[in-house]
Amino acid sequence: MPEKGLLPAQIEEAMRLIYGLPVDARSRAAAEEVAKDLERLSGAELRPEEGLAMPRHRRTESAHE
Amino acid sequence: MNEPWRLTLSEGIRRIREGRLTASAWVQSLLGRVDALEERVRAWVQVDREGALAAAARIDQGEIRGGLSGAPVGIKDIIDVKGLVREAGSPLFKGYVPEEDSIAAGRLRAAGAIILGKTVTTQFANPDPGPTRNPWNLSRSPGGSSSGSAAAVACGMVPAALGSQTGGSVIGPATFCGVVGFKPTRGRVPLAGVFSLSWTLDHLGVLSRTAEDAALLLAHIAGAHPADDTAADAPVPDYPAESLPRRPGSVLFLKGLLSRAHPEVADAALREAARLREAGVAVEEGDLPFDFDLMHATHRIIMRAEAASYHEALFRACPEDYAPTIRQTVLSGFMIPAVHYLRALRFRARLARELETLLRRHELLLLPSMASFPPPWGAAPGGKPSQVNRLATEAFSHSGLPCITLPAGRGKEGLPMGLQLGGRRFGESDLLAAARWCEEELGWRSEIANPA
Repeated sequence: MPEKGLLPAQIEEAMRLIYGLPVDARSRAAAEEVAKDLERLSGAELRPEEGLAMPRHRRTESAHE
Repeated sequence: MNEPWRLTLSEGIRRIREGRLTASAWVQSLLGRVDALEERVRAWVQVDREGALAAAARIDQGEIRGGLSGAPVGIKDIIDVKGLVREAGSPLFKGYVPEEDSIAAGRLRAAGAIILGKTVTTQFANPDPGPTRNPWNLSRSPGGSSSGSAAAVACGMVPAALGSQTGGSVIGPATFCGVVGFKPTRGRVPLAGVFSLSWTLDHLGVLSRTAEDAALLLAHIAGAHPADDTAADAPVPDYPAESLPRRPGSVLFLKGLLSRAHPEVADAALREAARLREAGVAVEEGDLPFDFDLMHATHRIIMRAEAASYHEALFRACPEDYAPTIRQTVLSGFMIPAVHYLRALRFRARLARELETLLRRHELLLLPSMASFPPPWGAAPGGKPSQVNRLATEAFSHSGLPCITLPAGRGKEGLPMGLQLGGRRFGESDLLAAARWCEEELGWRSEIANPA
């Protein structure tokens, strides 16, 4: 897992390669926003055992029908 | 009260059952209110005049009987209603009419509710401003994304409406428009037939003028359904009966946001917390057990990645037809690596566990519903007040825990403020009971706006 967030230029390039979306002023601004959020997340510690599980609920048949 | 449009949902239903009101008279009165105000407020995408009157006539003839017989409701325009448009605020869906009801709308109809029409949503339930004005001051925003539902309820065009929340889209507009906004636990209400913004963050909710009405609507839309993968099989209580007004035992007042809030909002929150204490509630002061800014970044990453996935095909075909903010949301979602999306989901699970730990010690959490007053109408979304406001609502969207906002007076300029209560997972009965007690004992009640 990366220790730091990706740089905006890396993000833009990945988008162009994967999705073929154009690199322009809008995508550049979006990449900068994303980079800030990624950096914030990368700077916070998670223990390996901290997985995805949210407090769960079960599903069976409708409560109404 | 001679004008039926002033009735709350529960009052109107009671009058119909007692033979003191007909559904037709109620609907006609509301349509008159719509005719008088809609040009200024612009809360509706479609008003189903003929359909509503026909449904009311069938109710009056005794053809449909249910817990909501004769109750007029509005439905946010990302929620499918058979035969009515579902444009989701986008030109890409102009004139689209679904052939089936969403589960929530279908359940309302089956219980005898009358769907008055579709209410305005911001485009794809993201923050790009729509045409709706705030009924308390037409130069102000009603908030979003459930803009039309909140505005229509606030000025008496309809007694209650469905909305949805991914970040703060029920609590925000309800607060800005001075009505009750209620977001149940994630998994309490099926989402099938609802245009998604973020699969794991979306919730359906209710906007109304009382917590009793929120309980009544929840009782009819909650519960698992075989055609839906989102709702839990937890039993559906008789919410109106189980949420009779009850003083809460212990409340944790989250003061962390007050330093970022408008001074009038902060003062109101402090004053009302003191009144709760004087009324015998054990109010402790504390804060959320995590970094607001980390929560916000986590929320944005999840929401953007999921929005990009949901919109992928449509966005790649016609990006120019997206409004600026949703365009940026989807575009940035494409840029989020899977490992970071998963990291965000792991943080969300941690934050949810930490909130649940707080709620083992306290029955309810209390905080301002919005940190600011409504911004000017049409203001570009984003900016500091908008971000701070999201912090007030995202904890509950993020964790899936239920929350409710109640009106808590108005500021010097006459604009509404709200206080938010958050409760335990699937603890809606206790949350609503406390909200009803606060309405009765502390006067946290909605008023009807009369747009000038």
